[in-house]
Amino acid sequence: MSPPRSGAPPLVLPHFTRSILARSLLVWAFVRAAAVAGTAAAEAALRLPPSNPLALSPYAALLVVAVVCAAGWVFARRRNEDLFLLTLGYGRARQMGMIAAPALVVEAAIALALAAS
Amino acid sequence: MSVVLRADSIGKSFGRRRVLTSAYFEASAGAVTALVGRNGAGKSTLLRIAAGWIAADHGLVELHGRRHLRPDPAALANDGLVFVPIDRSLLSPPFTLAQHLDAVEARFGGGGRAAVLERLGIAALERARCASLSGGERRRAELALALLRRPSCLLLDEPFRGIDPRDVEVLQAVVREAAGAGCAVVLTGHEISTILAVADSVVWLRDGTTQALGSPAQAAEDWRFRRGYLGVR
Repeated sequence: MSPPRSGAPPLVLPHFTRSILARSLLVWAFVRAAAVAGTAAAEAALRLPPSNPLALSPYAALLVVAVVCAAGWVFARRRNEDLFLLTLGYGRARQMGMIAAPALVVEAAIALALAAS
Repeated sequence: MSVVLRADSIGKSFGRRRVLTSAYFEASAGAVTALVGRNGAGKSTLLRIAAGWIAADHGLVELHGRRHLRPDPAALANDGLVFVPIDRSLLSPPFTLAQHLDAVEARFGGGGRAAVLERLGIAALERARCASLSGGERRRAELALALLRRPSCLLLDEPFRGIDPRDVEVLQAVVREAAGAGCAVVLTGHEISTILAVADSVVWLRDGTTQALGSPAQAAEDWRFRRGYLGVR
C-alpha cells in the first residue's frame, strides 16, 4: 500500500492540464469578445467616441476572470474532471487556480502592453 | 489490525432533515467493513464525509492517526484515501481510460497496470473513451484507477449496484485482494448476500447512528438487524 504523501503535488497530467488550460483560454476569448462588443454597443448608444477595444478597467478585467472561473468550474464539473483531479490530490483551490491562470496571464499581458504603448 | 480510518461522532443535517446524529465507524488495514442500512439512512453521506467531500456538522475524521475536523479531500487523497462514489463518476467522458491511468501513474507512480486491467476484465477497453463505457465497465474502470493508485483506504459506495452476476464475482475477488494487500476497504450497498460474503465486519446505520454488528455471521444472527433491515421475522 502507498505511503502517505504530503505537500502540493506537481502538475504532471498533460492531457487534463492541457484540456483545462485550452478551455479556459477559449472561454476567456469568448467573454472578452462579449465585453468588447458590449462596450462598443454602449458607446454607440451613448454617442461616445470609440475607445480602444482592448482597454478594460481593472474591475472589468477582474470580472472577466471571475466569469471565466465560474464557467470553467461548471465545465470541469460537467466533465467530472473536478472529481478525478480531487482523487489525484489536487484540491479545489488548485483546480480553480488552473482555470483562472490563463485568463489572468492574458489580462495582465494586455494591461501591460496598453500601459507601455 | 491497525485502524486506518476512523469517523467519530459524525452528525449531518440537510436543511431540517437530520440524516446523521452521532455516527461512528472505523476501517482497519487488511479488512473489509460493510456499512449497511435502509435507503436514506446516511450511508453515502457518511462515506462522503469520511472522504472529505462534504463537511459534517460535527465530528472528526482520523486517517493514519491524523485528525481532521474539517477534512480536506485533496489532503486525504494524498494520504492514500480513494473514494469511488455512486452518483458521480471519477472518469471524465471525453478522455480514454488509458489517459486516466496515465495520469494516476504520473501522479503516484506506476506498476501493475496490465495486471489490474486484466484482473478486472477491461484490458480491451484501455483505448476506449470513457463516454462509451457501460455502467458495469465504468465501475470496473473506476476500481482499476483506485487500485492502480495502491490506496491505503478504499471507500466504495454501492460497488455492486447494477453489476451483472459474473462481474460481481470479479469485484468481490478484487475487493478481497485489495484487503489482502493491506488496504482498509469500506463499502456500502443493499446486495446483502454479496456484501456479507466479502465483508469482515458489518456496521448498521439506523436512526442517524451506527451499530457495530461484528462479523457477517454475527450480524446475520442479530435479531434487531434481521427484523429492522433484512425484514426476516
